[in-house]
Amino acid sequence: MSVILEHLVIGIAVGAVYSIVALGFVLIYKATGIFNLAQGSLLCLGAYICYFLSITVGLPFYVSIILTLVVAFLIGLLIEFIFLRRMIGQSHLAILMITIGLYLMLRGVVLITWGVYSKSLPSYLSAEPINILGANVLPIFALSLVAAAILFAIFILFFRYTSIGVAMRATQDNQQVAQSVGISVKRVFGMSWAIASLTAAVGGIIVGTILSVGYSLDDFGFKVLPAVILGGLESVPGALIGGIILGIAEHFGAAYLGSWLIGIEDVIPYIILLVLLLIVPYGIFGLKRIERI
Amino acid sequence: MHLPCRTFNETYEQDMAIVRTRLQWILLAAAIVFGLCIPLFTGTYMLTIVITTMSIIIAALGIQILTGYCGQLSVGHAAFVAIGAYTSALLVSQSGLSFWIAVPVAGIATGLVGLLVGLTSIRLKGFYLIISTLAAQFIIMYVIIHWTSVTGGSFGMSAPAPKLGGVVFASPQSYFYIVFIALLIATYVAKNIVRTNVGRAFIAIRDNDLAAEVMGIHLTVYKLLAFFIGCAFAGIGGALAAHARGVITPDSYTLIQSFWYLGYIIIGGLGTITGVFFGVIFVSALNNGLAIFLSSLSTIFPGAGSLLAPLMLVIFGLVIILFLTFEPRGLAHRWQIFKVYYRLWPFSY
Repeated sequence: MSVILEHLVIGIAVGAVYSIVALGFVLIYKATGIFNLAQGSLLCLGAYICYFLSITVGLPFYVSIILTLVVAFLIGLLIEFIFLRRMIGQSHLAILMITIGLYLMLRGVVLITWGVYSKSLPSYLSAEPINILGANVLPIFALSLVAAAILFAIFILFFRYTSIGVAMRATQDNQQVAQSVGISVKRVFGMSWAIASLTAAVGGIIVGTILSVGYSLDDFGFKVLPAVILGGLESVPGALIGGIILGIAEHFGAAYLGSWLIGIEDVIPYIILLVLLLIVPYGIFGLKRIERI
Repeated sequence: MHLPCRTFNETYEQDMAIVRTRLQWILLAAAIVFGLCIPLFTGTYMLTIVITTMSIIIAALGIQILTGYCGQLSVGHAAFVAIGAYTSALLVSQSGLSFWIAVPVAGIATGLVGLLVGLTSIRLKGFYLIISTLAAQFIIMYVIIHWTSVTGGSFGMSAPAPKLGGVVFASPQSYFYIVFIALLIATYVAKNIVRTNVGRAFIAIRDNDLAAEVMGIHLTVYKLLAFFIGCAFAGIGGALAAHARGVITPDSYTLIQSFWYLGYIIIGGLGTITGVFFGVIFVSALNNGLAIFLSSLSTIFPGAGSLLAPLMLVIFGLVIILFLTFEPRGLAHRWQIFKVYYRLWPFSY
């Protein structure tokens, strides 16, 4: 029993990391209707910026975290301004392919700037595992649980009570109508990319601490896609629950099937996803669209 | 349709013809003769690039039918190419089957796997369908990498050169003709599939699937058919490329490769068969031009050659974005504009 509980706690902790990254997807989708496949690249870029500021420049770690978040916010604004501003009103699939182009570009930029060898962030947490509910968990996972809780609380409140949050929801529903009631669609787009880039940077710092900072971190963006889809594309709580389900499934898969099928934990999310999509095509919390011709 | 001057359609056959004027017949014949002569004047290195490009065109015809015509966006095309390559290589090297049977069988096998993935398209569309093809990419590549007893894992496996009677097509000079003829057949088939009722049904589904269903197009059947045809092309292209190279490894069929296939048809122009040729040749020329430029640069700056892969990623991503922003209809549309201009030259009206 206690073994299962331990796996469960670790699974939830890993899932919290996934849900932070998944949050970025949901934010952009909720505000702009864009399915951003470059989210993993933003995460990777955030991790590298943190590495650059803390190791290469040599700033104190906590200062460099704050600076990383600021830089990530600006990068999000810049990407939206340069690449996506022109695409407002274009078909969603064209914009999706723009994000694929961004993914390829950012991976190339990261490879040219920092090379293929992975780096490590300074150790800011003790390596001693701490005890949560009878399970030994590394402090970084506890930190990610806390970070996930704070971020999700902020964003649930943000979309419900702030005017820019409501404007984002309106824009996602119908850009033209939103514009006609005086919402600046451009500003909403810019803000949502900036915020999504910021959450991606938070995810990047956490994932970069757990693994290490390497160019293949951008694949993390694809790894959390099942979590986004499980929860439903436009649901913030769905991202949290999807991420945690994914973390638990992956951890149990690795623990119980990993001895026969090496590396199965990498594809378990996708297998679950395929099966689940055939049963609930819009995810658990997604909106069912009623279509008209 | 812009017909050249003094060309009139008098019969139904004339109306349906693809090649309609004498000039077009001459150009087509000249192109085929030129193609057949390529091995005579190019070196082995150049010829290998040409063979790879042609097999990529065959595979890209598949994604053009699936995505460009039927609108089912697939980000797992490289995995289907991999299935074709591995199936054909396994059939030839393990079961000793003839190359000439193994390649079509690989195409059909890939098509069947495509059907399996396409089953998700019955209930899913848009973004959700992308995710299911993405899942297919990861699951297929997982199986290929970890089923080491059959596929050789990440070390890859060998794909022997084809034989016909006593002739072994081991050199690029001889193998070129196999791929060239396959390319001609594939283009002919693809061009005609999209002109039939099946192709028109695909276009209707792409433009508005609900309206298509209301008009009496069976969505399930036609979507599955699109997946089958698209993946069968991928399988044949993959099998031909595999036997050309002799060795196949999983790292030539990654997710990034799948994105490249999407990029080919965006750059060439979605929904045109000509566009596939433009897109693949454009990107291939860009890639190899950059490789030659960097290798000449590395005599001045040592280490410039290692920049090729990342620099190509940046350029390719940028080219995709530029095309989507400024010329969403791709190079094929530019070609169309040129043809209209040329038709009336030197008059402007």
